[in-house]
Amino acid sequence: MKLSKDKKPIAIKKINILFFIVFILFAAIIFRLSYVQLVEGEKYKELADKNRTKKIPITAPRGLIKDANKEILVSNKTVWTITFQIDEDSEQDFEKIAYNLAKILAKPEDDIEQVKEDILKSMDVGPYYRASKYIPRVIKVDINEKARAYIEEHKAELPGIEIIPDQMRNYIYNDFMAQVIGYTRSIPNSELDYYQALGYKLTDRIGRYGLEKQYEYVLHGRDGENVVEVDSRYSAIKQKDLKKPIPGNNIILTVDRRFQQAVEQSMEKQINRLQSRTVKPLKDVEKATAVVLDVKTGAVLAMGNYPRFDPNWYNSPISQELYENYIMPYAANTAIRGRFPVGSTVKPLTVLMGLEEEIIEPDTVIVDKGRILYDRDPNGNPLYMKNYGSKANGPITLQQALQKSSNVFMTEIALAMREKFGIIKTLEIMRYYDRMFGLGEKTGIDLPEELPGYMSSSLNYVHHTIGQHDTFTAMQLAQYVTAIANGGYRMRPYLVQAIEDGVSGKIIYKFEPEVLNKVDISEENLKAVQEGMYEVTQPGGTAYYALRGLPIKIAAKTGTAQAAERNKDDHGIFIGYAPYESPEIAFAIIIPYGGGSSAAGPIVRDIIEAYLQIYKS
Amino acid sequence: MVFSKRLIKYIDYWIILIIIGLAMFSYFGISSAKPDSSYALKQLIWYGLGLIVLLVILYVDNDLIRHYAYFAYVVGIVLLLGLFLFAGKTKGITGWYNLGFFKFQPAELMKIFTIITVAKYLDKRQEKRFESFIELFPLFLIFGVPLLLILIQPDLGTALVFVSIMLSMMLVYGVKGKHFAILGGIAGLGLLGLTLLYKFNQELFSKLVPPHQLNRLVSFIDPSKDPLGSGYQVIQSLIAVGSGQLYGVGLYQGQQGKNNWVPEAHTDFIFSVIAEEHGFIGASILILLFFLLIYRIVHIGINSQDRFGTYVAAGMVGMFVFTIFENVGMTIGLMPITGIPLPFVSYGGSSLLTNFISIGIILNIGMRRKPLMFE
Repeated sequence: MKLSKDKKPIAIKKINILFFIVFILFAAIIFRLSYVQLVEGEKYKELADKNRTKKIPITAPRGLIKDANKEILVSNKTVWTITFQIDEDSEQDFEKIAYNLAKILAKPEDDIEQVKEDILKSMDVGPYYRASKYIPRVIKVDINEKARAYIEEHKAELPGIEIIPDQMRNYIYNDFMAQVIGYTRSIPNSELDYYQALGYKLTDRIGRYGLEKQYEYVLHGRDGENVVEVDSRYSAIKQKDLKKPIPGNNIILTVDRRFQQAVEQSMEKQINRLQSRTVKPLKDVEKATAVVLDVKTGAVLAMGNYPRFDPNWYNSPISQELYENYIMPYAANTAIRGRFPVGSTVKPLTVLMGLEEEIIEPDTVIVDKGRILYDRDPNGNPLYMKNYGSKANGPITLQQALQKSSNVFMTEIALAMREKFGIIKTLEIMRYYDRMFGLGEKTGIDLPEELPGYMSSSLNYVHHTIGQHDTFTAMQLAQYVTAIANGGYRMRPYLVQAIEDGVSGKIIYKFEPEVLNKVDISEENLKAVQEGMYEVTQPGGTAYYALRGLPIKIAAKTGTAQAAERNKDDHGIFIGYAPYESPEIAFAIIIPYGGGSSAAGPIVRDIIEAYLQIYKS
Repeated sequence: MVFSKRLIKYIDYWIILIIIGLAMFSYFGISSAKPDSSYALKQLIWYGLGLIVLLVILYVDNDLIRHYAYFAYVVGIVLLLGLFLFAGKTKGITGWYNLGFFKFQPAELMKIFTIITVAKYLDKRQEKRFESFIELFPLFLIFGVPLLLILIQPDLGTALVFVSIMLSMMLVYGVKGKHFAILGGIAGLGLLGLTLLYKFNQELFSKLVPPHQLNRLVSFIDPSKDPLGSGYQVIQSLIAVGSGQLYGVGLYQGQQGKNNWVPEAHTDFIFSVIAEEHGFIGASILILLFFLLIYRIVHIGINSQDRFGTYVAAGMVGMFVFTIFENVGMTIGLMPITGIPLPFVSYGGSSLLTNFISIGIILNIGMRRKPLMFE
């Protein structure tokens, strides 16, 4: 037995060892397999899902902006945009990517090298980044379908390049109400964290000026998401989940598009006329601003500036030339930011102050000799306050003082005030009355750019009574005249009357008129001044020629203010309300360097006519 | 050249059953990895051709195979040399003759020719021990020539199969442990040399070791180092295998393979696809089939009427085991990535035919085994 066992060939013995090794190896496979599949299986399953799923955000359309008649002023259009993302983990040859893109995007007449350079610049690949490396750069907005398809097919040669559907604002009437409506642009670097926390995408656009900015929270919708399964080339093969975007809500303005347009056209026409008229053409005049408010509610009926820019320009990259020549000079909303001395338009307030402080009585008569000595300068030379053209008006009532815009009458009030209170207290009281009517205060309009007035450091309380001291905006003037017209209610001006659901179109919120304060003026005194303002438009009044022949009665006050730059023409200012008996609209117009209040007269006439035509027929 | 009924009775039907099982895995694996093409159908046709080849080999007398062993070896070497003259590169390797309808890889056939040649040589020694390491020289020569020719293609994976065959046959012949130790020492020194070369002369190193081979090794050690490069394949394969979990995601439900996450899913990485769709249970059954196959080969080797058959079986075991271990191992992060297919399962005619020839030879040996004592 033992012998036969020993005779068993070596090979047979050894092959068993071999088989044992085989067994070890197979056991290792099974062991490792069970570890990968059973122990780590869950982890890999999650990885697999993440691996194969791509979330494509769908930008929600921004809310529409509509006028008071629900006519759409601002809508959206979808465009395809090329973006580039620096990815340090993959090898990106920026030069090559830019060149490949240039070949696709260059028009036959373009120099391909130049296009490449421009693209490279937009790609912002350093060494000094204009934007954070982690932000996708917009290379080109609004490419055509052919270019899009081509790029999608050649993505492998363009690492980091994506084509995303982008929502663009469509400002239907171009520069219509431009500074008021504002515009959208990409999120500034410094605010990225804030907006990302709110769920914005890096490439999103946000309102950066005007109503677009003020109502960002209303207009911005909630993005949807298309979850797709992708293959190894990241092209979608199956849709897994679709979250529809929720469009932003619409805002409905208080403004009637037709009325606003009439005001804007009137300003344009008048500025052109002033610049090119044969008799005494004006060299400095360039801009005009006008505000029309609803007397009862403070709702803005028109708020315009001339000249304007086209916010659609902001949809594409803006050249320096375009910006410097056509946007920057007109970018600001002058109606709420442009502060001017307002001249004689403060006189109704001066008279009101005189009455309230019992300096004058409603039937006080003052003899206006055309000029009045009010002080002496440090050298002892007399300082006179003169009427326009030193015209002597003789004995006048407060109404006549307003009608003729008597500086002497106002100076008498100022002098009596100083007699009673001293200079410092007098100025304090004067500013108290200003603030009561909102002059020098923010009016509270629903725009983010509003500025308060500017307080002069000079102690010239006499100049203050004729509007040559502190500076105010057109919106403040409009609010002030509104309060005179409606019996003393300082209303908060507002541009948006309601918010409309972006999907159903139902009104979901209505803005109510808001009384900021009731002025502390007796009804009787207010009435006296209203009468004075009515006289302004009657024969003998400063606005008679400008407004004669209109079918309704108008109360107004003109103003001509000296510009801070003495070599430039005077500012023309015009405020008022109509109809006189039961006021509905209040207006304030400022034409900087317009030569005088007469420059604004035709605009007032146009406003009244448009008002009658649009609101009264 | 007798093909009697008695011989048919001795065919190892277990092996036939196992191959049918593997064919099923192959068909479903390929059709899952490439659902939109006819690869799976072509594979079935190759299976048919393979069976015919198998039958032909069964008909050939065992002695004839032995007789022409050296001749076949020389033909094989010539074919390998011819590659450098007549063949272009496929996937960076000069390893295939393009015959139009299919690509022929002589290294596959050379494995069998070498096994037979070595088996014949060893059988002739009649179990005479190798007393000194130098005596092993003829063995090294027979293996070394094809190994070198394949290494410079360069096809590291196939070359390693030759090493595995050599070691298996040496082990079964009874080469002393001391000699294995010397061989291991030489291999170790070689590796040390390469390491030093990498450190001090990278230029020469990169000529000897192609960068992608080095990357594969680096990725094997740490796949996350280059997740989109060579590590990518390992990670994606692990994701596929791992997400199969116990039961698998179901036939044709796998995503990793057909959507190209796993590269070469119908050839080298077919195991990933099968493991994803059929889970640990399915993958284990496949591994078990392979284990049974090896077991049957060993069984035939043990029961062979002469030592030639035992040595051939040992060579075949070395060939199959290394191929299976390397292929499956790379899909589960156990081995570095090389481009060798999974026997009988990966798509590809050349390797399938070689495998059928190998099994044919084994069955042939098994058929003519010594009769049982009590018969």
